[in-house]
Amino acid sequence: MKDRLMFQNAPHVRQSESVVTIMSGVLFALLPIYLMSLFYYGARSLVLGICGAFFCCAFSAIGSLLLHEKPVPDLTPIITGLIIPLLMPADIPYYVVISACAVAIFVVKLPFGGTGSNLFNPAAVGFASVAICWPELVFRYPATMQAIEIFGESTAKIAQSPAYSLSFGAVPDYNVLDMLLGSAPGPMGATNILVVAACGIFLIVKKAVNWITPVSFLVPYALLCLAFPRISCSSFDALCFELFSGTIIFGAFFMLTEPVTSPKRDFGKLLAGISSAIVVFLFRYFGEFEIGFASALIVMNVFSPVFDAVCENILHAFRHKDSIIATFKSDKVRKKLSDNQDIKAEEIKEEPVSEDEQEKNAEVIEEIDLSEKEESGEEAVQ
Amino acid sequence: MIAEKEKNGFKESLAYIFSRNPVLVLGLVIGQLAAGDTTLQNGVALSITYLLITVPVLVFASVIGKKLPDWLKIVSYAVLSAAMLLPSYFICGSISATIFDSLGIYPSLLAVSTVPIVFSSKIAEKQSPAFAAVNGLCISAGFAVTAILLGAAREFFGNGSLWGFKIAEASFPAVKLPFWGFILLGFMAAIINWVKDLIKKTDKNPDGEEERV
Amino acid sequence: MTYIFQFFTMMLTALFVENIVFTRAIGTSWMFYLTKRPKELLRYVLLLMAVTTVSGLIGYPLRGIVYNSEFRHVLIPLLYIAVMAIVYLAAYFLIKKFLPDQFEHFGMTLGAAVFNCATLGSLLIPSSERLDLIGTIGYGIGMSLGFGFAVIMVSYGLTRLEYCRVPKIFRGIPIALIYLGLLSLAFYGLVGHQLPT
Repeated sequence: MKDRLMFQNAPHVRQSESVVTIMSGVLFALLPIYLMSLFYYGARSLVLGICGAFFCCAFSAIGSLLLHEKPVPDLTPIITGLIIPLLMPADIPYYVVISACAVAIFVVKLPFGGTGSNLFNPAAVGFASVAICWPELVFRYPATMQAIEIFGESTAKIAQSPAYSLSFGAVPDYNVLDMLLGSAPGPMGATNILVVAACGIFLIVKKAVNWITPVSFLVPYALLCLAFPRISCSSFDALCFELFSGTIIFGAFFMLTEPVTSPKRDFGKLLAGISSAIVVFLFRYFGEFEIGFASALIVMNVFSPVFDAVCENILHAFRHKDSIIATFKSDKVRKKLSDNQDIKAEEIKEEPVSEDEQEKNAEVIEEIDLSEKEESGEEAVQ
Repeated sequence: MIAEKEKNGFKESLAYIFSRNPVLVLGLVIGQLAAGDTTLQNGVALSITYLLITVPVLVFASVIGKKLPDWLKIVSYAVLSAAMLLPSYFICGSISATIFDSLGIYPSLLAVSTVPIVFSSKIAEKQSPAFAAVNGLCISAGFAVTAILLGAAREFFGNGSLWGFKIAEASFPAVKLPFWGFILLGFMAAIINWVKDLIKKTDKNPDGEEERV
Repeated sequence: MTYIFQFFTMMLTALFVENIVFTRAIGTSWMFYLTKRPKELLRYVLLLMAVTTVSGLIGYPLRGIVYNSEFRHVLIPLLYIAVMAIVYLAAYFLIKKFLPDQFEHFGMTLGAAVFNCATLGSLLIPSSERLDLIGTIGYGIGMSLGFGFAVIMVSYGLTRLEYCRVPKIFRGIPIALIYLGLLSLAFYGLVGHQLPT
């Protein structure tokens, strides 16, 4: 009997969703991506993921203890720890991943208050920090279909990534099918576009993420890439190269949709998605670094409540448009009446009024009174 | 004769070194440290420059500044601060011949920071010269502690060296960039808050028992 | 036409790409001061634009004298501070004579508003990069607007921070600095390298 009764204060609102259920959906979506990395790069990719997850959880626990707070057992550090290695090459040294995890937890999460309070995407900031620190390690990708040593110096063959070729205006050496299936070199978790997109759709179906954010980001971004291609080939190929290179698809489903830093309203998500597409486009085209997506995401994190506020103001104006129009009209009527009264006062003060003129004024006053009554009658009707 | 109030004030001046640190608590001169203080030598050079600017300007404000007309005060403080860059240029040159080249415009910006311009006109003019000098020394000491610690940490982790002598491999090269300067200063300020809280807790219970929070 | 293009290019570069606060870390203390006083921001940005433009015009022909001097690190800031002093005195007496109501309120902060790191930085950076006159003016105006942009972004972030469960030791200056650092990181991604000073 005790187990069936819940003793708590009102409101007694229950829902099936929680942080754990949402994050477990994301966790399940990341597993196939790691399995594909295992297929292309060997067991090192799995070890990198486990390393990232372990150190993120450890840093989160250490930070909570240092701040005299009870560690909250949620899956968010694990998700952060799994996303960070997927943004990097498979032969990245372990200390780079651990550094990124340390930055993500100690700089982005803990000082702002932990889960639910971070103002920036931890994975994006962690990745951006180490990419600036060790660009020669983070942007050097191994060729696919080779098993990389789990420990020790990597002897993997290095290949030029499509994103690097695009930044110079060169057509990548791979075709669109290679990029769809993950045969092109690139970040560990962002190359197999088919699997990443399938996992993204899984997240949308499971309602772990809202479909508006990735769609409102990818469609405008695709249109911008079609309008301003960087390479000279067919429009379809140029579009595919731009969309499938780097971390665009992966970021659209797994990073832009982070529930804490993205807007809450659907219309706000739409605005944020479109703005993110424009900013990412500008960073990738004009930025000097290959961390275009991560930098743009950090900038958009700053503005996410702005989109919610704009959305609230637009919806408020739309819902209350009748009363806004009525207020505007009544202001006009009041102004007209006050003008008439001012004229009346001036006429009485300035000119000595004869009896004939008094009668005429009385008629004028009656007319104005009548017009006032008509207008107030209209207001009452409205 | 120094007023009784100022005698107690000397003890409060010492607070500028730690609990009212000009950088980490009062939030002054942050940018110059975040961007310019990337090595221990840079930190020492910035500290010497700040000392040579702050103390003379505060003493000048205390002795002569209060007698000047309003429109001339701030102009004289700013010009005097800029003029004090010359002796600092010579003294810092003994650390390294190219120290001012590596620091760029940041020592010059110290000449127009808050203490020489605002502090001198609002506070130092009402103090005695000795008190103003002690304040200046304590503020400069607080700045120096921050600058030296930050410079040493950034040089060690960024270059793997200290005072130009190689000790280890660079463990985190990006720490020399301005954004890491801001983040490290933020953490240093948090450490000061933590130590102040600890002192407050132990002060409330001189027997050594920890107060229940 | 080329001059107009150069002017706007320099202005936009100084405003976004080489933002005075986020990328060059100049004027941060004054920026934090203005985040608490949003009504003074427009007045200050306009003053900053006026001071950098006038000082840039006056200082430009004079800086050639001290460029090649051994003591240029000292003489150039001294030169610009002297020029700022002339501009300050002119502004002081003009506002006192023609806008006595404004002077009551503005006069107290005029000195601090003219002589601060953002103003001097807006003059020293074009000088150290050896920009020509159009570039100097454009860069100075862009830096002023960039300063205002930085104040708006940081004040907005500080408002958001009030809703976060910031731990006690990080409240106030620590979290503001960390927030500023993360914003600088984002802008660094646009530049890609440390800017020379």
